Amino acid sequence: MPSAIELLHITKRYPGVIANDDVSIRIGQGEIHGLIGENGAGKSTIMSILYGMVKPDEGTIKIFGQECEISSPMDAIRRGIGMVHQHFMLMPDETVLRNIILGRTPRRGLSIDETRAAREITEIMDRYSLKVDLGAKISQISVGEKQRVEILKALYRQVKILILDEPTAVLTPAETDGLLNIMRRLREQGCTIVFITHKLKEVLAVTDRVTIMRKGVVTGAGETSEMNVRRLSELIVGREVATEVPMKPFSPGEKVLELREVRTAPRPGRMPLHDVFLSVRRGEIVGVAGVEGNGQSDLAEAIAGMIPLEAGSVRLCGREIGRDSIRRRRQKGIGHVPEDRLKTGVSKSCTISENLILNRYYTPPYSKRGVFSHAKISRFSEELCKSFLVKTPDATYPLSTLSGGNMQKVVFAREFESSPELLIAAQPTRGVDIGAIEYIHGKLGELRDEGRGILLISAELDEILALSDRIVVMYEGELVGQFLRGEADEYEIGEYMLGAKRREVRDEE
Amino acid sequence: MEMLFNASVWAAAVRVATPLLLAAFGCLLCDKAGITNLAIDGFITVGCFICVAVTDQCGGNVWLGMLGAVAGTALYSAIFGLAVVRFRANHIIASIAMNLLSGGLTTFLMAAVFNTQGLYRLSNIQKLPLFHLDFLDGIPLVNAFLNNQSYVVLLTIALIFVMRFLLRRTEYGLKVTALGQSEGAAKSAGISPARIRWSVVLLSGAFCGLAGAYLSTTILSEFSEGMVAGRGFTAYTAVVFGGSNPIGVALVTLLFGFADAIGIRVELLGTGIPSSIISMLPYVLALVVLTISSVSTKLRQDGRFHLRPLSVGSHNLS
Repeated sequence: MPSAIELLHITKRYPGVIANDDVSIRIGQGEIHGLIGENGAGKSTIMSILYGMVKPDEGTIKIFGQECEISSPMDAIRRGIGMVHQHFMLMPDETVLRNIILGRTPRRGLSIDETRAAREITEIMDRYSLKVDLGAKISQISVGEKQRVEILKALYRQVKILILDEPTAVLTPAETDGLLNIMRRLREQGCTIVFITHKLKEVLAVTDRVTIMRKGVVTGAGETSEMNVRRLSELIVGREVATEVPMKPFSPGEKVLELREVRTAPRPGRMPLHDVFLSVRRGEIVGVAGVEGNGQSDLAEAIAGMIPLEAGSVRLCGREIGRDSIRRRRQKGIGHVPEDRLKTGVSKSCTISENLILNRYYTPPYSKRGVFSHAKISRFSEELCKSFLVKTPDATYPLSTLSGGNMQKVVFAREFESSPELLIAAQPTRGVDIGAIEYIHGKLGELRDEGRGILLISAELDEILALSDRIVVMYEGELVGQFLRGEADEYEIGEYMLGAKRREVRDEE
Repeated sequence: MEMLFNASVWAAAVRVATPLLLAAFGCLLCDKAGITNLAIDGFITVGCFICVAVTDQCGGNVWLGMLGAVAGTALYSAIFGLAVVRFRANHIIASIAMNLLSGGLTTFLMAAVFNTQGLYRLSNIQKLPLFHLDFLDGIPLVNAFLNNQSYVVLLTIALIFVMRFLLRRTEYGLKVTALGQSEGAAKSAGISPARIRWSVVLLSGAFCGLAGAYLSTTILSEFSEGMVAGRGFTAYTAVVFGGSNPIGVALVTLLFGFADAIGIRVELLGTGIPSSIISMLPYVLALVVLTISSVSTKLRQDGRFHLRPLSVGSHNLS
């Protein structure tokens, strides 16, 4: 098969790190090529180089056999390369149509010819059966639709090579299947696709060939048909990875958390809770599945005390805590790993040790009469960093020097160390790599085996399925389904997540 | 109450609104492209000065003065562009610096060019002819808006629609909008952010130059220190409140103009209300407007923590 892209001996150095070290990748015409690796493995860097957003220090790029220099996205587009970024590059207050034609606008006289643009785009939509309402505003459409808009943007520019950067990270299982089908259709039409992901199942399902990267170098490449999950994860992490979380048999104790008829007030951009009944027992992990934005954030924040309840009660170990302050709740035994690490989980400009004592800085031995004891704080944080495998030379470094996975370990260390009765873990592995996911999952399992209750909220259905003893599904602020481990597979749960099926969830007795 | 229908009040309102709106156009363009441009206040001051200086040097020819003001202020705004576009300085800090520079520079140049302090009156000015069409006399509001107004007023009214067309219907407008809403979207579509941003900064300078020229040679015939009196900030308020729509911005400036015009009448009527209170009105209005709009923006974005919405709607749908 002739090559669409040849990246030859590409090296890119940043001060202190080599992002790409002599990387060579060959991608055949008309194939779906998986590019996989952990965060920081250099996948994004090499693709940014290909798309003209980063300039390589060494190496050559050949597109369709022709050596060329790509110094801006404009060059890349001109050579038929399109990229769908992980974070959508869309104008929220503009229509789908205007987003697609941005940068390649048909004109009539001075003004934009929207009628002609609409005709051209409709043709493309028909050819690839990609449907989006062209008149809708971006802020009004779903994440899956936004992604289709991004793909349409590329197709409208007549790309022959499409780079998809972690496109499934934000999709539901059904939407993911839809995207994989679109990718297959694009391949039929002769399009070459580079598929960046860290979800091995998808790689095996859709790609023809794969390239695996670790720490800036290519560690493996080959036909997908010759790969399996075990071999791929070894190449990614560089060692064997435990695929299952070792846990004791399920034997729940009394209720740690009990929610009765909980409601929260509607707020703009947020889905409020509507009459939620939910309980978590000792030694139990309850997983909350659902498409993001269906009330999971309100659920976590209402229990943690970050937003007030409108009605209903929240009991912790049998005692009402619904009106307590955040600090009171934490003192009574709630730990909270918030969904948005950077916004509510850590303070980036503080040091690692300051972040580690955020939930207890006001108590002895860390402070006495309002004065910190730095010796004790640093001894405590050095120990925590060691036992939670936070990779840093020194706990007095600013937190911002850590990677996402290590930041999350800091949050976990802090929340675990206070030995909570109940841990709320919201999106605990978002944006962290396979090694850190393995570690965090293991820690959650340990906590459960110690007899604590865990409320796990995650947009990753695989994570919910792997860890939860019991799964509840949230849809539009309500619990619409409940399953014990093994009672339902991801497709069944997916139907509840999309609101196609529902049944009353009061409480398990 | 009869002031609402008084033609001379409306005519005065339009005169007050015109420089505000011109400056607001510049500010709006910058705002759309993701630049918070508060330097327009200083730009207007510089526009006033250049217009008076050029008119004075060219034997009282206001046309040349205006042309000079537009070109000169656009050139002057390049300093702001250098700070904000080239060196990515904080927009607010750069604006404050520009406003301080504008005040100081014009005071200094007044001493250097006119050999005077505080105030320079144009003695040789040939005032521009005013627009008048006889058949409009009979149509009440149109008459007040257009007849016996400067041609600058007419141009400004036309610019409302030009701006709307520019922003909504042209490729340039789409590029500007893209920069403001998502720089990533613009970049990945192959648009050069710097080029577009430079263009809006220079255009804002040109608009403010015209606003200053109108102020110093049409409403008045002089340059004095502090004559701009915070009009740039009022214009910014109009942009915030008027949203991204030039027509909305125009209506808000007209509202400010109307408040100002009424203030003067009330004062003349001798109602006993201190004049300082009345001249405060537009600014109080600006403050109220800013508060309302920022609170409503806050509520529109996700109101985290204990920020409860003002109205609790029914969510009991199922």
